[in-house]
Amino acid sequence: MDELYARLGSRLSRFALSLLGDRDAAQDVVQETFLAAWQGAGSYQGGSSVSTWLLGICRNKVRDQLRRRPAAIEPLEEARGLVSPGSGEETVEFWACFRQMDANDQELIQLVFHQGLSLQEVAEVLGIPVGTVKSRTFYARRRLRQLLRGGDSE
Amino acid sequence: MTTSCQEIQELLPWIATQTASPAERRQVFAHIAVCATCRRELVEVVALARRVESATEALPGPARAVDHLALLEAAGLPPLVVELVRGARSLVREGVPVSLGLPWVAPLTVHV
Repeated sequence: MDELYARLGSRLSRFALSLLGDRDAAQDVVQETFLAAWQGAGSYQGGSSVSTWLLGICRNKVRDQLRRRPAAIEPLEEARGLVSPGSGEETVEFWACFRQMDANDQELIQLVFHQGLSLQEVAEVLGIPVGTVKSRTFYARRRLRQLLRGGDSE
Repeated sequence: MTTSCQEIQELLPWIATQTASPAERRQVFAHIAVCATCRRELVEVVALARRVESATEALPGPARAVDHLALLEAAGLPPLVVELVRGARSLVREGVPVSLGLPWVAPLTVHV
């Protein structure tokens, strides 16, 4: 478990933090993910990689947190509190735009571009068909690009 | 059968992250060899991928280690064992075996 945490803890932590915008909530989610993995180890059938399996658990824990939490604070203010000290304005601006996106779109962008999951792996984590992953990701990245360029509507 | 630009552009994120299958790579590269629009789109997607990656790496990592005692409790180990481990943590140095005094239980190596 130590080795698993050392290898994947950072990755899951950043995934949760990017979607929740709150460090304490993200830490709770990572803790809950490893607890659930430990308890449910018998259910892991080896069809997917361990990291994909853990991401699936983490994603569900994030969703549980989002349902419980009150509405987010102003995106730019939240972004400044989110990033490591010394991060540039471009990074803050990225998170301010990212946090304006719909939760489903945020999830896709993270799974594809930061977690580096294949098309099949994203479909597996989200429980949706490959075709749906492709089209949703297409629109999610267009939306993000639009926000980064300063636009607010399609 | 020609592949539409929409179909190709839907695959570009996995080309940018180098996680596309060999068949997907062949399909995309054959198309962008003759389509300037999709070539430009690939450049945009690669730039976006890099931006997401660097912004996410700028997020702080985990602030605390996993709570091993919580894991032991969640795994259903008897409360006595959990308490013994909790007590042992305060006494032992990293990696030194601790005997629980139970003949059927091998000495535990506690990582504090």
